[in-house]
Amino acid sequence: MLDWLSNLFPVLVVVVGFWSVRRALRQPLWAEAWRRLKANRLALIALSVIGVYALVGFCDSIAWRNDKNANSLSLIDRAFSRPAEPTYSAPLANKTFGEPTPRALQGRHLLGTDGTGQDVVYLTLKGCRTALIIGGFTLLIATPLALLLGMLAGYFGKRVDDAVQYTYTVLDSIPNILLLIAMLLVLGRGLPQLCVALGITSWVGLCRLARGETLKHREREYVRAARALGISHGRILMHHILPNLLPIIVISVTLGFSGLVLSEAILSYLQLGVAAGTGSWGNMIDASRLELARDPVIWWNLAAASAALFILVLAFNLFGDALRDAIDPRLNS
Amino acid sequence: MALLKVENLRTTIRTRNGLSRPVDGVSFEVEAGQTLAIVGESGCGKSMTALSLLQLVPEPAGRIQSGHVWFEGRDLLGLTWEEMRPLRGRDMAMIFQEPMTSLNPTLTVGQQIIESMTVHRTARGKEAHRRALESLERVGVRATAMKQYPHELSGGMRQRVMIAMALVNRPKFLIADEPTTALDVTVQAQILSLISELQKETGMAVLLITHDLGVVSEVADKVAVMYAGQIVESASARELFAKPLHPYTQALLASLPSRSRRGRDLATLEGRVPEATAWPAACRFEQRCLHRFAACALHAPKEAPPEASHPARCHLYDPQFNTTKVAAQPLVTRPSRIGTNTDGDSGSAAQTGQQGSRALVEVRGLTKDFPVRGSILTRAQYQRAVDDVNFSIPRGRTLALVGESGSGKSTVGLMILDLLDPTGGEILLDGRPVSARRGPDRFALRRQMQIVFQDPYASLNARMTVREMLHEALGVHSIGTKGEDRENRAGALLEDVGLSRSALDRYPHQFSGGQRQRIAIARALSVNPKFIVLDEPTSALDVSVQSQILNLLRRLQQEHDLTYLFITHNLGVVDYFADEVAVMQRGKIVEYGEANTLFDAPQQDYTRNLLSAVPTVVQ
Amino acid sequence: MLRYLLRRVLYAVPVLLGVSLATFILFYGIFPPEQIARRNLSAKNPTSQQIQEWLVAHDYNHPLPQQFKKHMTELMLLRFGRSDSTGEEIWTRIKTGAGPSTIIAGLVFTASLATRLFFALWSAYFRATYVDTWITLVSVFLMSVVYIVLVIAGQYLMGKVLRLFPLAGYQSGWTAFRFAVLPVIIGVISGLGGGTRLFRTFMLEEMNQDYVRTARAKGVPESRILFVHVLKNAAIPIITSTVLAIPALMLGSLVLESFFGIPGLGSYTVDAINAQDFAVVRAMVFLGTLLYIAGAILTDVCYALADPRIRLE
Repeated sequence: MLDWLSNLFPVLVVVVGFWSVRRALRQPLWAEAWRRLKANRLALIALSVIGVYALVGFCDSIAWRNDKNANSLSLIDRAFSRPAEPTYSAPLANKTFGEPTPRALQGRHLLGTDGTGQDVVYLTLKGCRTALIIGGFTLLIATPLALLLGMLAGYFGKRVDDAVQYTYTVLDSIPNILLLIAMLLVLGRGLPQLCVALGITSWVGLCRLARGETLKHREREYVRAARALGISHGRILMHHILPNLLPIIVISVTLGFSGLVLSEAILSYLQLGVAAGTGSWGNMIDASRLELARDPVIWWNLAAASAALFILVLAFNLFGDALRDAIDPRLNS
Repeated sequence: MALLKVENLRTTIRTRNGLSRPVDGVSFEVEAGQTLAIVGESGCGKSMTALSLLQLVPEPAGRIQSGHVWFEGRDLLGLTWEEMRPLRGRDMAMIFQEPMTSLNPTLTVGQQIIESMTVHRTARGKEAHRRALESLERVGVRATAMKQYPHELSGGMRQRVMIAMALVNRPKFLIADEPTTALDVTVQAQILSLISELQKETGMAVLLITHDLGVVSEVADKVAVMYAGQIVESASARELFAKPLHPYTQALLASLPSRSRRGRDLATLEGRVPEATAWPAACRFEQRCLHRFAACALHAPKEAPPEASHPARCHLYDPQFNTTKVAAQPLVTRPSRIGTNTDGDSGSAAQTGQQGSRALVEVRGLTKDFPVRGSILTRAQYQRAVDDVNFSIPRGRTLALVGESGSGKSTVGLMILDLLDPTGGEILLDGRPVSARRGPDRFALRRQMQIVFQDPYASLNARMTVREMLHEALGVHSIGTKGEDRENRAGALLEDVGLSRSALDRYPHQFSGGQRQRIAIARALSVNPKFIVLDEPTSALDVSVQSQILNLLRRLQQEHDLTYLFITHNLGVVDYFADEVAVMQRGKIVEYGEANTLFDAPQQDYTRNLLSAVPTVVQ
Repeated sequence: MLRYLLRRVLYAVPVLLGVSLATFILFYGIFPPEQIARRNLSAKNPTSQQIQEWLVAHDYNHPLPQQFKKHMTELMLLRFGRSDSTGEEIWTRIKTGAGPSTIIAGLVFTASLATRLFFALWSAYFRATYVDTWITLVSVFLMSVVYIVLVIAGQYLMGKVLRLFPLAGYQSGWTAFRFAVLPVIIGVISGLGGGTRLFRTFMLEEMNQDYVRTARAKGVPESRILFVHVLKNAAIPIITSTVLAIPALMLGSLVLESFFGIPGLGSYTVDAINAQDFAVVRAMVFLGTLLYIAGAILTDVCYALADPRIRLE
């Protein structure tokens, strides 16, 4: 029963995602943006890279158990999991690494194994889902909150604005990293805790943006015309202002995604990341800190995790930039 | 020999939609001491022509493809950027439309004027300082401005500073790109006369780029009319206004609103300027021309020989095509389709005014204060934007609220519509106060009054189709039944404002400025109001489109018995359109009365100044 | 000017009150002191007796309202008390740690500003050429590298392979700079990509302004346009963006100091995290906020000096 539910969720995310993109593409602004994106080869490559990561993350989310007592295994577990070796081994080596008397391995590993003998390729693939959940769920928490408060503050002004501005000024004057440390120290390590903490620190920027844009649009003549027609405030906010904010919000969310994925690595370094058992690039990088100090060095662990992280973040950065160029800001006015 | 001679200039700009050709084979000459005005609607390539002369087209998208710009016998287009630099600002200077943004906000006025001299080594140190002061004094700016920053000066003063900066090296040639468009009409008059004076003193040549035919007729010696990247007609100013040859020039002149055209439709130019990425191969004006004949769609009209005194690029004047040898008759304004009264002075609106003697809208002692600065620690200060304004508008008539920018006229409009709370005073609609209404009564008020704004780009929601906009308006007030009925109503509204039903499925950016303004009017009409506030409804439009909108507004007023409050700074429009006029200055109404009386015998100095500052076309 | 400063400082008071309220909710509301005691006590299943003793020893044994009063007054008076884990006076550690932290952060800040400005100007001057393209491309690449990887790889490459600098450690006095070079270089590189790109955007935005066209029409040479006209105007958004750099600076000192063994405030905080020392983290959050607000006020003053349109009143 629980398996069924937990598998439904990723499917739902994908379906809703596809549905909203298809709906958006019917609007001329997004259709035009897509037409421009399609002409940009770099953007397409970046998008397909993101797609590959998303696919890995999706496969890792579809899991079931073979019998009642076993742990549930995801598609990635089933395809890439290897029996553990005794300890480190170099890429494609047949013996363990760094021991006075190297032992034979049970199999060959494309990127070697880490200190506990786990296959590095498998670990890297497992990190995908964690990164995507951190980015995705954090934004899922932060964006609606930021939009709601920002738009209300910008539109109604006065007391509402004062309250919202005070809240985010207070939050914003605590340097992000210190606030994260404080919250994670209290909440403890874990994926959900991380998403909540990152959500609380990252909604402020979006909220400020939404407030500023709403303030601008509130004074625009089309909003005044709507008010002159007697259209209600709620409808003006939802049907008139929100669609006009969406492009800028989408751009900033896309560019914000990579920042969130990067902060996971830093928090792992501070021992505040996801729990040690959960596969994450941050944990892999943190574990490899001392490996470079050994002689001969163990580089594959660090290289695999940081390359996986680098490529995803680069893809998001490039795609975000392309998206910003594709959504012509001149169309907004 | 002419001081500046431009031959066959072509400039292109790479855009997302392909190669745009804003300047497509332009030739003209300017003599020393002469003023040549290039006039045309927006999108015709006027400004790009001016920038091409100094090779200042936006890099890297823009490129001057071919042609010659002979200046004192040298071809400027053969020069490199560095070879061109000593000429810029020394021999050829330029001033721009926006004095707000065209000056560097972080440098003082003095620094910027002195820089003009130091970069050309024409003066330095104390000498440069002295000359900067001198030139400021000459343009009528006080000496203390030397140490001031641009934002500390008014718009008119900034344009004077721009002129002082441009002329400090005594250039032989001045390019003025819409120098007065952003300024109020009285300031415009001052700036124009200043340029003329300086021209007489120094003997420089002036190239004036403008869309305002009134300005042209006041200051230009020669006029070149530009359309779709080409010069279609050029002549001396007097001859051009007396006997315009090209159908485009004729239409532009005939579309100007004035009192003599009151009660009649203005001439209009249907359609829009073609896109600069795809100029038509044949005559570029053919689509909009009232005189077109078969040859026009097939051949491009030839450029007239340079020695012609009044060349017009039109088949009508080419004996090869126009075999009947009948010259085009200047367009006459067509009599109104509705008004039977062709006598310009007493419009048909005057008659409706007699029927409804009771005022529909009455404003008593209206006042509005805006907080200037206020915080928790300092006591708020207020500025009075509207000060004890009183007027009333009889049913079916038009009151024009006239004033310069910042006079508070738009604030009055917003308060009448209950979009802004008044500080004091009363607004009555049909004898009942507006602001006292609450709840459903206040909502019902929305059906009775509507507003049309100035900027047709900002007044429509870019993310909604026209159908969504009109259905929303009908839906909020439960007009008609959902579905087919509202669809028909929406279609009928569009047809009423001169658009086809097919416009329903489109988004605002797919329309031209004039069409958008029609949509805004349709939206206002959707709830069947009695009263409409028109807040500068034509100020952002070209003259030919302005006339379309004015014609439409006039027809709608008569068909739907509408009452208008027409807020504008354009006195020509007022003289054509309004029954009564209220002149506002610094929040107060300084003069108020029947339009003709007020225009013929203004009682106040301010009104007199305003009227005398308006540049008018002498035909 | 003085009045403005006074007003800004007064405005900071409600914000600081809010921050201390937020820390109270976090450290007393969501996570009560009993939990802190549990985490700090070495015994696996401490008895309630042990917990009570720990609470008394660390002055946590008050009812919530009293605790609230104590928390608020102490923070506002900057009385941070003693560390939960070592019992050491927190202020003494702050005093010893401030020196090294200031050196590292100060050097990273100035060197970052200079390098970003340099590359951004370079990029803007050669805009739309291959120089610009390459700077932009490298910037995006640098932006995508994780900070930690940069630190680990940088130390390995420059310290271990090339043996240019000491790997880690710190000494006071002039030798401090020898130890500071490596962390500072890495700190600068880590922010270079994003910073250069941001500054370049500011400059290109100014390049498209009307006053640049006016300057060209006046015959001002391109180099003067960039270095006088554009730079003076771009300084305004650049100054604004430096406030945003303050939190990044703090993150930098956390990671760099702990990684390179520099005994500054960053290391102190990281040690506190590992020791579950809530009192120190609480003090650091408040201190960080104070620094941030002070930085913001300072930025506003610089902003007004750079932009004649803004007057401090």
